[in-house]
Amino acid sequence: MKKAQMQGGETIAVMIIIVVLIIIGLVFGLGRTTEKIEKDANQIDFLNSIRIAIKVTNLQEIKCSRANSGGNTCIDKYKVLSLSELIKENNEAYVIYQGIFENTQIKINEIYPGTETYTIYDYNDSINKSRTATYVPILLWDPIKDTKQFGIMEVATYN
Amino acid sequence: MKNKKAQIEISFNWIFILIVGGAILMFFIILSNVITTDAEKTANIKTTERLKTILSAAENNEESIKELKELGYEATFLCEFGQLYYQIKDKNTEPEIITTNTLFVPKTIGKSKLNAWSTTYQAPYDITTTLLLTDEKTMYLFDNSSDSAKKIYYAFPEEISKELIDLSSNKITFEDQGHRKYIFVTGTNPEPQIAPPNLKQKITIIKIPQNTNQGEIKFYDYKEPNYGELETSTKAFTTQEILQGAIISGDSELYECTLNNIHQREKIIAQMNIKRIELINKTYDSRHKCSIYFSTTILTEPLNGIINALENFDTDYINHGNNIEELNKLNNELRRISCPMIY
Repeated sequence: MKKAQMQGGETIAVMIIIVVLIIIGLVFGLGRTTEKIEKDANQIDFLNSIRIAIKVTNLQEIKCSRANSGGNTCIDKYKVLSLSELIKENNEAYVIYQGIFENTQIKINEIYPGTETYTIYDYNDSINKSRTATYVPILLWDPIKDTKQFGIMEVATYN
Repeated sequence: MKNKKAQIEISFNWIFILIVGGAILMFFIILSNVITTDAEKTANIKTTERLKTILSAAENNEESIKELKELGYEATFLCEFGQLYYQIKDKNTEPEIITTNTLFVPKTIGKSKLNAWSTTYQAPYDITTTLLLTDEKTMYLFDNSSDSAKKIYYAFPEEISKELIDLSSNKITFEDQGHRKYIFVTGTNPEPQIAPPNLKQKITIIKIPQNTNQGEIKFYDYKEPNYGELETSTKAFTTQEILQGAIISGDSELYECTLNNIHQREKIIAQMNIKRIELINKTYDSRHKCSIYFSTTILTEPLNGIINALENFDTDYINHGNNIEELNKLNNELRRISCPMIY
């Protein structure tokens, strides 16, 4: 009787150990998987922000006219003003640029001389509300005064 | 009695081992299936993001041709609700939207090296960079007897699979070289007859006009399911870049889908330029030499003309072309008198 009881106890002990080992293995495996998923998600967010920043900096509609070209980084101030007005007032334009820019905020900050800030586009429907910002130095050209200013284009993608 | 008890105990032990062992085995089989499915989904997401990044980077390289790595799978492109989507063939994935709205691509590409050719569409200012994406398995065959077809043949980069062939006898005779698709481009010949009936589903014929800057394109296709008679579809174009896009695509629906997106962008940019003219006009003194251009409809008229022509482009493409010409002349005039140019 005692021997049977001891055997029964051994069996239960073995089962408990196996279950504990399986649980430890699962916890460890899940932890690694979660870490990997987070890393992949961060990489995708980063690739996404680069993709949109490339699109914005190559936008033909705000570039300087060819005769006054200051290179690829020259942006026409009046085109920026009219584009941001158009996106605010025209629903069709808003929808089109929403498809191009997605969840992004695009701002132009004058650095020297002048300190104005122009927001071209701002849309955010992401859950996390965290952002990845890319900064691009630009030349802001005034076609009426024919002067150029240093500026920074900030492209912040919401994750 | 003791023996019997021991025997029963041994049997119960074995039953216990079988049940527990079976349960553990089932558990790990289910777990490995779940992990495999998740890994596949992750791989598909990564592939999708990679393709999106490749398309973005290729799209933003001005006027260039890039050979991309082999796409290890076939992707099918379709147009739904005015948007381009792509789907990985033979995989159970949802169609993914293409954010590159200015992509001209054949219906199916993949399992071969890709060629990404970016050109700039101007009307007359830069509207957008168009991305012409094709692969080695799509062959473009140009009619040697047509000047316009030859002109486009020489404009196509060497990296793209292309050939000059003789279509003067009105019959297309060629050997199937194992390509997925053959797109024939002809200019002067009337509707040709296809010689090899077994290859009908692989063939599209595109008839282009003499003027490669403006006109109508005719797409001839043998449609599913029987590939019986040739079906025709006529679409308009302006600029050689758009014509090249239509040829690369080889599909009238996909061509129209992309062209509509480009025209939407063109309309918005024209509206933006009108706003810019109004903003500049507010800043100018009425005595300034440039104010005559910005305070009257001299500049806004051709811009509004472009917007109106885009509403019915297939019938109004000539007006579209004329307004672009007019805008070009006015821009040169603004440059001559040192006033702010439109572009």
